[in-house]
Amino acid sequence: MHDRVLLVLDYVNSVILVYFVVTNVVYTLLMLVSLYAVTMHSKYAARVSHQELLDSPVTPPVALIVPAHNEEEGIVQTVLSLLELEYSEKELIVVDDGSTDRTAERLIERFALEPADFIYRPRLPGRTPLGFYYNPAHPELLLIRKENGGKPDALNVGINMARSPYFCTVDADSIIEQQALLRLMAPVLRSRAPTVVSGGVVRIANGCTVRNGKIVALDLPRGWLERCQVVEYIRTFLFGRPGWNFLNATFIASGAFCLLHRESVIAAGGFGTDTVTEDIDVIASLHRTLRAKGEPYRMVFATDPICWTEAPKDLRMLARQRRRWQLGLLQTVVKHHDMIFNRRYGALGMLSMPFHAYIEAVGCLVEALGTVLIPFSFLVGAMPWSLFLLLMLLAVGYGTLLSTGSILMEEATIGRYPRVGHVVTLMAYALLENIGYRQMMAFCRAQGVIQYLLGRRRWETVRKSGMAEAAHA
Amino acid sequence: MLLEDIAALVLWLTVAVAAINLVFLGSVVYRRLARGRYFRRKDEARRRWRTVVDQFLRWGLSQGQAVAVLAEAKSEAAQDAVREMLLARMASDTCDRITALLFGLGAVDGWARAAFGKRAGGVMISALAVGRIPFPERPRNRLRDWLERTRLLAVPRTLAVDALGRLAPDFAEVFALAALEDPAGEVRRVALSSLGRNRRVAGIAPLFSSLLEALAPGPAEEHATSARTAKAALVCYGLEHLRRFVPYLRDPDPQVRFYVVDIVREICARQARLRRLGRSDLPGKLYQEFLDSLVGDESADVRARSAPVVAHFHDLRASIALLHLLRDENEFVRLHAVRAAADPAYPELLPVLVKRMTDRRWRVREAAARALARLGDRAQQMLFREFAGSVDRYESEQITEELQRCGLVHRVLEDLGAGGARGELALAVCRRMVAVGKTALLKDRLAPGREATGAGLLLLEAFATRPGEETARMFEQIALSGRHPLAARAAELLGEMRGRPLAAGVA
Amino acid sequence: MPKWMKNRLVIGLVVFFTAMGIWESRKPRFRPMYQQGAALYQQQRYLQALQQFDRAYGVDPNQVAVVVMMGWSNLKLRRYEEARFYFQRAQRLDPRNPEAQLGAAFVAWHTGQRLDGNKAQRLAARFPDDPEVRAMAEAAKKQEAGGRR
Repeated sequence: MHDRVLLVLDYVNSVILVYFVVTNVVYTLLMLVSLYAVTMHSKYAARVSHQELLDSPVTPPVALIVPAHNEEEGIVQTVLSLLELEYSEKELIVVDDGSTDRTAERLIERFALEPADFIYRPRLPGRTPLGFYYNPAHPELLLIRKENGGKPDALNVGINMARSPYFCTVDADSIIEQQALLRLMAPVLRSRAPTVVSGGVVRIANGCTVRNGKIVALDLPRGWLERCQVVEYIRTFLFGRPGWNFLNATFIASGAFCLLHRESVIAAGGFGTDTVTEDIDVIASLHRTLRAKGEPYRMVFATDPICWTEAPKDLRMLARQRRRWQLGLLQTVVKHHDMIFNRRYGALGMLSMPFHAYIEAVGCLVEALGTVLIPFSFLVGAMPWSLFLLLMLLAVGYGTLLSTGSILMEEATIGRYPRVGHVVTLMAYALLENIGYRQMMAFCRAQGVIQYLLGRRRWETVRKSGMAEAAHA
Repeated sequence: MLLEDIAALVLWLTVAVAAINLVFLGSVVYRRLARGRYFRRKDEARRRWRTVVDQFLRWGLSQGQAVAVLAEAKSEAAQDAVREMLLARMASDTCDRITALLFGLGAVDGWARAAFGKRAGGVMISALAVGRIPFPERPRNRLRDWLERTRLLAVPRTLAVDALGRLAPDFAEVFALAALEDPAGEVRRVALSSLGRNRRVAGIAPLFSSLLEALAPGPAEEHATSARTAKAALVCYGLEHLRRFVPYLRDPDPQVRFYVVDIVREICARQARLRRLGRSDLPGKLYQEFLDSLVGDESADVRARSAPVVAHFHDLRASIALLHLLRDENEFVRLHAVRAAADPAYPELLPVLVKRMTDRRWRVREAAARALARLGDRAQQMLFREFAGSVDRYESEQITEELQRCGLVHRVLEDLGAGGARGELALAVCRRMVAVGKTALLKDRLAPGREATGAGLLLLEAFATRPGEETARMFEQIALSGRHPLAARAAELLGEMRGRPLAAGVA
Repeated sequence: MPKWMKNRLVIGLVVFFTAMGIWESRKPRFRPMYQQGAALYQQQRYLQALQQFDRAYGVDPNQVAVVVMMGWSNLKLRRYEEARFYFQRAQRLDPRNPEAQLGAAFVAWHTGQRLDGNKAQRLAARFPDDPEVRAMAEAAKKQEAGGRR
């Protein structure tokens, strides 16, 4: 019996070791690739003006689709800031997804919107709108009210009403930088192959000063949990995604801020309601559809267009958020499992999908197990303390390396945080987040996987407190 | 493996990781401090040299004097500040002097060497100095080309070519043409943009070459420039250059013809925003080519894009051509023809536009409604008459949409209260809107406190022509609202409605 | 076949875990060799025992029990330097291992090195029934007394 237990322990330890070696090798390669790609891009982006894009008649119109559910606090500011984005021709479609508060009323009052009977052509499935609201004095703004059907449903309805060849999904509580839309469109215009997706960076606005829907002063949040998330977001957006983009294997583009080609999305069936992360699912669907058609296409990720969003402040909401993301990722990789190790999908199929499936989606279980098992091995005397200590140091050190590398990339790009103190704090949290925070997130993600295995596929609502507007001077 | 060896390995790995972390930390701090220092120096330099630049541009300093003073900017930040200030002040009247100054400061030399290599760049500068146009030879080498395409090496060249492209047109053109041989697509893209920005005749042929290359059949190379880039550059040109575009309008490839026609369209549209164009503004050969050939092109895309160009001719032949295009079998051609015909200079086409309201394709109907809505009072009245008399549901829906989008429903409601022939037409429009069930805005107008009594009564009459459950509910609501000015009439109509059977559905 | 069994994600995981299982099962185990060596040691066939322990050591050189038995086998064969090496290694792996401490003390005794009297007494208290341990403790006591005079 004792032998069998030892055998099982040996087996589990070997699995954990292989997982960690493979994961960290892949992360290291991604980081090196990203360091290069991001540094080169930022050198160029810092000096080049996008004025020609703004002035050029070749720049296509874009529809900004904002699904909103109970966003009465900030929706007017969001719409105002989107209307002021620097872009030659845009339309703004706000889809009120069955709000029970005064989201729609706030917009109607502020912009003097009137009821309108527009023709609704449902090329994508979605609950039929209950009404349209429009004001010829703001011809670019359209409000659609519909029954609650979820974010993907709201997006599909928005796409159905959009008249532009491209659309950009924007979360109702996000703040987009002035030139962000131009920067998102730049790779689309400069590429010879049709670019169907252009993703941007999402940053955390907690701690920043917001006035009239714009970030006027940047600062770090006070809470340790939020600070850890700042580091985590920097790591995700500056080292994971640019790396995959460089390898032409983009799999995830954040739905909070992403430009997509309308007809391609329609051909792919729009945003699905069978996963809780419709933004990942639509990318996979696009890959599938376009590969099946045999048409050349590109999906890009750019590090200079930035969208600011609010991060959860307490552990409960954060845990919900991470569980949902993990659940959604797993749902997506299971749904599109035939892409895994499928040469037809090129680097996406042979590299990106396997990575996201085995390491990101399922690997959290191994990570969570390792977090428990390694200290357990030490406690039961299966591992000398010196080796245990060294392994812990290595794990923390390597995790810190990935985060400090990301902060270096943050500095190498159009660095946002103005003070040296910010950078020092970020570096400190690059270390601190590896002691406790990452382990907690591994457990939350593991919970998401377990939820999936148990058949629980519901969207857990993450309540945000809203980005408070700074008092006017 | 012995535990001691494992421990030693892990220890070394930990040390390595810690060392790299420290290097990263050091790099971040160094970069932050260095950038801070750089920008402080740059700001200082701007403050220090701004007046010198201003003085130079006001002819207060000669070039020699300006060079002598500005050459004191030795640090990278200071030099960047001076160069940026000078480039920012480039205008048609200052470009020659600023370019000469940049030559004198050695900036152009630096950029040329960065863009073309030390030797070739130096050769170019020397040739320019003696008034010759240099043609640096670039030996082809696959490995070198591959290396030069990498961003590590391409980005500095891109920035250098971008700066060179902002010099006086004589020089910018030379450098841009030379940069078209660069293996990196990004460098060529910037060169193309520069050619477009400078709008020199010598740039037209290379731009079209690039466009043709981009449109050539076959898989797209990763480092090729896009057709959009060439197009964006070509649309910068003016009407005076269009005669050089004519040969490309005859290209055997329909896709090429389409792009060229679209470029001509954009150029004309840009000019038309400043003043109305006419046949005399455009080259004769272009005029002939469009009317004799392109409006009847085999490619529907070419015909479609020809319509807006033809519309600028503003003569009888143009009108006839537009008439044919409005009746084209292809929906995109009709769509663009409708948009093109939305020009007050073609009143004779109004009836045809009205006819397009019953087009089988909704995009054409939408464009026709929009065109009529924006063509002034006469066209709007035609639109209202067409709508009021329409029996086609799809046409009615399209017109209603455009009436709402253009704000013409408010116009209708104003006319409703005005009375007379316009009032009658407005009432007919309202009745038709009720008939097709597009009543959201009309109902909103009947909400308490929203509508004046005169037009409101007529609206109630309009609703009463199509009694139904919804209408009854609305009348009931108004009737029960004591303070509503239309309450009494609503109650009467409700009574009449309940006295007769409800209509099944709407037309 | 249920749909989930045809899922590539599941197949990949199954392949991976199976491959890991096969790899683990094919790894030689030290325990059978150790047990054989222990049996031979009990029969006082120290040379054959050493050979078995050596094989076990080759499979897993970090098992304290194997290292200790390597030490004892070498000690029994009067290979004191080798015995010292293994007992010292065992003490590095597990400083509180009594067998390793005992073995190291015996090696010191047999090679005429100075013995730590306190340690020897503790070991005697730990192994009260072993006459050799008592003899070693006595020798350590005498050494200490001789040293004081």
